[in-house]
Amino acid sequence: MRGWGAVLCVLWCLAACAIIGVRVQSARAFDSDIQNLLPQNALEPTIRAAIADAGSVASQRVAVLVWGEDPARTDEAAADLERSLVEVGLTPDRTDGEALGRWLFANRNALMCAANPADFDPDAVARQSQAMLYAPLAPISGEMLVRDPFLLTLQLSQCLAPPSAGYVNDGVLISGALSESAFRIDVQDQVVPAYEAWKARWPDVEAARAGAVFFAEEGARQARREIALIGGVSGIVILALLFVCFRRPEAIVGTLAVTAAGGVGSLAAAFLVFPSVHVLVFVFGTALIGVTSDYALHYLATGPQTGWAPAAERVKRVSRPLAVCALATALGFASLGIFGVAIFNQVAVFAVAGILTAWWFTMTVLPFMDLRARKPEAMAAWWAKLEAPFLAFKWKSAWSWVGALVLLSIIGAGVARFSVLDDVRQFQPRSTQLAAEEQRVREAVGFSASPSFLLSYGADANEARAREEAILSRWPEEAVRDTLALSRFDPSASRRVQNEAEVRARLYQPYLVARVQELGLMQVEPFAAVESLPLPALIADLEGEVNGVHYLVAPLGAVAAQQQAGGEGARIVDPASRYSQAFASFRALAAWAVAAAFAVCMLIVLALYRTWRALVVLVAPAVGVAMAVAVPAAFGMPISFFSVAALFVVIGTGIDHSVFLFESAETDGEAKELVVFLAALTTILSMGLMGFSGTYPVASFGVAVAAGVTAAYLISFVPVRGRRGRADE
Amino acid sequence: MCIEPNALPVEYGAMSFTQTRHLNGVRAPLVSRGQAVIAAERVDWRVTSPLSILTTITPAGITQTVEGGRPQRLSPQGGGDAFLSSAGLFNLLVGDFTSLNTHYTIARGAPGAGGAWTLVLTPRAAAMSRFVSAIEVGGCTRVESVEVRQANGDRMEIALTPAEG
Repeated sequence: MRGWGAVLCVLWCLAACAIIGVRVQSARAFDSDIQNLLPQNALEPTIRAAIADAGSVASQRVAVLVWGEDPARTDEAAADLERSLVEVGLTPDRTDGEALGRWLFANRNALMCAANPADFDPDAVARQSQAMLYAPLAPISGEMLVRDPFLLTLQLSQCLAPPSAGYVNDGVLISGALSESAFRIDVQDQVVPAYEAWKARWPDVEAARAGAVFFAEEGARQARREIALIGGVSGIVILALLFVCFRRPEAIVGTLAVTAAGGVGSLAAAFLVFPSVHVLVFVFGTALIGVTSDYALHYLATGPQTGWAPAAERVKRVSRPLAVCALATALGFASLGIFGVAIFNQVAVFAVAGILTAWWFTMTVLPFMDLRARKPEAMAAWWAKLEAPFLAFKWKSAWSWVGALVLLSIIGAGVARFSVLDDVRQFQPRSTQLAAEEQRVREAVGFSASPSFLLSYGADANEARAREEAILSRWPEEAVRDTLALSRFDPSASRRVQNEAEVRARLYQPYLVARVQELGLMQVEPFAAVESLPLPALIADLEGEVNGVHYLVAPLGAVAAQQQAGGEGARIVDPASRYSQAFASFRALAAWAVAAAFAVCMLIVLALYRTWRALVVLVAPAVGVAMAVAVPAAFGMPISFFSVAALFVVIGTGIDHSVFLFESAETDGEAKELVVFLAALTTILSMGLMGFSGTYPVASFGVAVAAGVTAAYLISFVPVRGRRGRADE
Repeated sequence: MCIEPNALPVEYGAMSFTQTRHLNGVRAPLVSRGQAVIAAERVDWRVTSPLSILTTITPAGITQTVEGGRPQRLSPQGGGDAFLSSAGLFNLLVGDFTSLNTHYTIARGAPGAGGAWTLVLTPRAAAMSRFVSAIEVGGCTRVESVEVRQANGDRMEIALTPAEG
């Protein structure tokens, strides 16, 4: 049977490799959007869709300000940059700007700079048009005056259009939108090298960048560095430990094979279930090295312990405890799926598949790889020598008091310094250089962006527009100008009629004749029919529909974000605050989920061991959970949703050591101290290294797991030692 | 005795101007008058007739005040602004042709009476050529006239004289 199991396991691993090979060819295989860390099911569908739209529109924007000593060279450099970025998928605003200009011209008589038609000031419009006629080099033409004698198009472009590409002071602004998500790795891998190659070609030209693609690429680069560091250091230390303990290459090869099988199994499962896998999954996933290698260690340890008994006997010795461990750990990781956080769903699938594949490989394929050692007695003696200090260790009752005192001290310090962090804005550090460059671009274009937006919704497009107009008509002019609202460019039907009536009655009727005479216009056709145009992309992206609800998203600047938007079918949404609230509520709910996970573990343990005494294996993970919260808090590290999510992993992995020590005491009495120590050390090491991550969710997750598993490992000795002590007596 | 244009001293200070725009389809030329005050990093272009408009160009941006109202920042729209930037209009007004050489190809035009010179500036950047086809600058001991020929056939003349008083 084991032979067929091994064949099937190898076939699955080969299939997994094939799945990975095919999927990594796709440009969408990986993504790095930090928003995928956010709990999606915490928000109403309309808000969720609007946040996604707003994020998408904002994230695909790219702006680069180019300047230098030599203006001609600056022009050439800017043109070269635009060409380079167009080649990698940028649609320049210049193109959109022209489309927007045509739209404004076609709709000029139905649009107003004033958000409220009652505030329409025809004197001011006439005066402004007069100023444009005589201002130095205003971009007017005779042809324009025939159709638009009051230069409404130019006035509207000044008050409605967002800052776009062109000359800004002594520099040139290149701006536009990427055709694909800025969070796609392949997009980042095209845009950023194109920019860097351009920088290398123009060393004498200065530039400042703004755009999510640059921040996302920086984040992805950091994640890659962390994967290399955490995975690399974990791997090297684990290999060194294996070599010291087992002294034979078969053990190293076997352990590597188990972890590799776990790796391909996990990634293939993630690729099968999800259209793309987030890069942070791999950062979380590297922690699996420490978990899955434990299974190999437990089996390999039976070699020196039994003098390389037949494989079937060795498998029998570890089959039940490994099943409990794999099941409990998989359950712990699977519990991450209950939060509705996209990345946790991926981590859950990734980890469960990896754990089960590693367990399957250990039970079926590894026995064929770990053949009898040439000098089994010598190996067994070496193993016994390494284990001797552990066995010589005698638990004293006084240490229980000291241990209890230490635990209470840590808990006390944790309570005293307890704090929480739910603010998503503090989760991922922003590159200071990129932030400074972005600030420079914003200052140059005179626009102060905020992450907030005005969400207006209704049964149809017209109702949504009317509601947005109703809100904006109550805001001060300064705030309205700080808002990029679709209804300002494409008003509701009733507002169009109202606007045009105002323009006709209060501007054209009293002022047109005088204007024609003053300029000597030979012909004037302000209401001549114009071709129907589609909404420019820049504006069209600001509306959407979900579940029959039509919604508009109006990005707000810093001034507009301060306004109130109380009203039917409209509200100001601050995505970061919404998600922070969601994280806070999930953190509270997670406490109940931890209790539920314990209950399930209890049932598994009782079902497998059929004795109440077995429940003692839950003591260590329980203390581990307490320490996973208290230790980081005692060191001033705020507790986050991710710290609490880590508790599920603490339960899953913390139970392992107790299970093996319990098995040892309850069944064959064979010492497990050394292998349990090795298993704990590899887990703590790989998880603890995650604490060095620059991304707060990863760091807090790693520190909590490392602290919890350390405590669980140490505590797992107390009841078993006590029991063994009593048995010895 | 005229001074060669590339030997003109850079002059800061005030000057009077008359700007005349000739637009296709518009019978009456648009004539405005006023004063331009040029400092090291600032141009104040003040139209006083037929209405009051103050356009201020600094490295921080361009603002415009109409009839003493609130200054409004002009957003960067279109390539025409290159001429308004301090490297364009500013250098032209102060007679700094060395700097203008970076923006334009400069050719010598037909000489005028008494040694007066004419320069024809053609924009180097394609973005600017879409708006301005050529600029003709004339003078003797200083810049006295500027004619901007736009790509759409419209044209604008600016006559500059020393400020009175």
